Amino acid sequence: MEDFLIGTTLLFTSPAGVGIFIGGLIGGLVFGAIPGLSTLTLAAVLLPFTAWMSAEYAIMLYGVIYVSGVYGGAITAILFNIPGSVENAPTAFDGYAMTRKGEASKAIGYAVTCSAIGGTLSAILMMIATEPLADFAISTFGPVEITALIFFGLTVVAGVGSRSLCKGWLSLGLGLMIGTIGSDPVGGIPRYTFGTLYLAGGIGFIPLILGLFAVSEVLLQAQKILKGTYKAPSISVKFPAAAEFWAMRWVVVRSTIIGWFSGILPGVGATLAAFLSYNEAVRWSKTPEKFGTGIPEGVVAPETANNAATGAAMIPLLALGLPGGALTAMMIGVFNVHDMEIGPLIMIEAHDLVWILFASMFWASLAILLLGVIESKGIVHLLRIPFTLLAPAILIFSTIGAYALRDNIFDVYSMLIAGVAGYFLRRSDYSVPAIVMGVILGQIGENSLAQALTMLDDSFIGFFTEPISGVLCTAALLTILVGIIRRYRQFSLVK
Amino acid sequence: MLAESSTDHNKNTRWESIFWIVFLLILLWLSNDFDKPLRYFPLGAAFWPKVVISFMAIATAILFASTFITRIEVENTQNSHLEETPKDLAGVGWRTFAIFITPLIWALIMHKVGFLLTTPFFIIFFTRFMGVTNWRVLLSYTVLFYSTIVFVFYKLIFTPLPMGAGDFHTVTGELMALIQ
Repeated sequence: MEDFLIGTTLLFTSPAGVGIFIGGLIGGLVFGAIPGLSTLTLAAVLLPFTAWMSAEYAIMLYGVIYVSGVYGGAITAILFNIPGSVENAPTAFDGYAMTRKGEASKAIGYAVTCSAIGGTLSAILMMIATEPLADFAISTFGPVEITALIFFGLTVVAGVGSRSLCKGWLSLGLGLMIGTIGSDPVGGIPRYTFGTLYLAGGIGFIPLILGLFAVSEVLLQAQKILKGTYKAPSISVKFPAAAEFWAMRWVVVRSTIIGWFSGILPGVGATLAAFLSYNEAVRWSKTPEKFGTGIPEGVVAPETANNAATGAAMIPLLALGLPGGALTAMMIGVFNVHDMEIGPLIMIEAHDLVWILFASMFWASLAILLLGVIESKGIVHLLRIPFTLLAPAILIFSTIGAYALRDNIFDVYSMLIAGVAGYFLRRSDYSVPAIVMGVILGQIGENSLAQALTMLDDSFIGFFTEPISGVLCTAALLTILVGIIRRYRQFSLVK
Repeated sequence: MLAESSTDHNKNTRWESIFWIVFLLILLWLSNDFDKPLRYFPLGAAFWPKVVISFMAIATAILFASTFITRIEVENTQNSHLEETPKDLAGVGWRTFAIFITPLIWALIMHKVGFLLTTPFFIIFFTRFMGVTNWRVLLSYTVLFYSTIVFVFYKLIFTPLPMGAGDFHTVTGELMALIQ
């Protein structure tokens, strides 16, 4: 507690500290909300300038950007079906559907509050138990367990966003296949690249997500406008009531745990956290068929989890020097710029610095709540703009987002192709969320699977003999079985 | 009526199943290019794609088989966004085609001519195809939105955007220097 107070005092006693904190907060929110111009762009642009800042302010700035950026991406996901970054993609599944139902403000309210709760709880846990938990997570969760965890996560994906289980499976399979394009994770062998350099690096997540969500949405709505069946979403500035939040308590608790645990695992981070916790929300729901149609749990789960992952990601970073993602890797750069090395000794050698980081992330999570409450009342009025004017803006922002990330026009082409494909797939009742989850989880999963099989001498039995992976794999198989039985019961067969 | 729509649905699903079968066969054939054991991973680079192809083949077989079972789906009114998805392109005409093709043409031209020079035309044409017919609204929206984009992405955050080729590259470069 004393350390936390010292960290807070060091943070807020100078005008420069407060200025950098607010600048980082707003910068993270804005950059997180603009697709392609993710917080990574902001962090990369700012990295050279950190050399002129004191180490405390530099690392605090990155902590604040990280926290606020993860939340920022939810706004555009909810309002326009444009996820600001990959970890906000599951938020769009139900968030945008809520907007279409006239509940945009409510969706933003859920997103902001749960982001703040997830982030704050995660920051508290980070302060209490950095070192022992990092040791436990990293020594217990190897490639075998991560593969089992992803398999477990994938088993509920097929049920989201499609009325047909087969079409859900096919959508998931399509996503997994898209994820195989590029170099294979073991030998770097090119797969389905047709000899092109562009495909050798795989299809970018951001162009794919922008195409499947934003572009296909523009095409679908445009068609409705032309047919005269378009209905503009009604606007309400209703924040969720306390009782509604209370009803979400178990989703929040579960998602915080998932987010926090995913955040600790190196190379996994907020993206897996958001997708897994969305999947778990589906799995534990009494009405899983409602996911994808605009229900609060679909917003609460990913937003709690991706923010919970931010604090947890600091644990392996600080305790072991293992970054959980690109932004945390950049933080290593910030430490290096100031001649410090991250690792077990950092808690002793730069004690105050670490506590400034903890305190800044804690306060940033709370500040998001304040900013978000104000934002949720105002930003929904953007929906008053007629869709006929909004559509070119969505396409232009998506194009900028797709291009600016890698400076590559082929990303724009990929986005447009994904958009047209997404339009036809959605018309035929295929699940876009399942495709996106297939791509993301498939790429992480294949990498872990290859490592796990090498460890297990290419034997699949090993997945069931290891205790944690055994439980996860059995639960995954049971989930598939239960899913089939549930769907079967939804149909009455006619002789 | 129900029987008729069920027949149409089954017919569409069968065509979709055929599409998936052909698609999977192509993927399987293409996977032969990299189907070799690796030094540290004897199952090879094609192992995972083949697992996914098999999984999709099973799903396709079930999807195809399901068209031979007459069934009545239990009412699922909750799935509202699926209900409202347009099912056909009939009666829409050239404007739908224009809406589909304009972003692609813009992307192709943008690569040669640059973002700065092509975007105003894209905004005008696309907004027009979306149904805005009042030229005053069209032009004022284009000017306002284009200026905002230029200010934010070229002046404030220096985002790298396509500059075009040849003379267009030079013109864009000069315009950017002027803006910045």
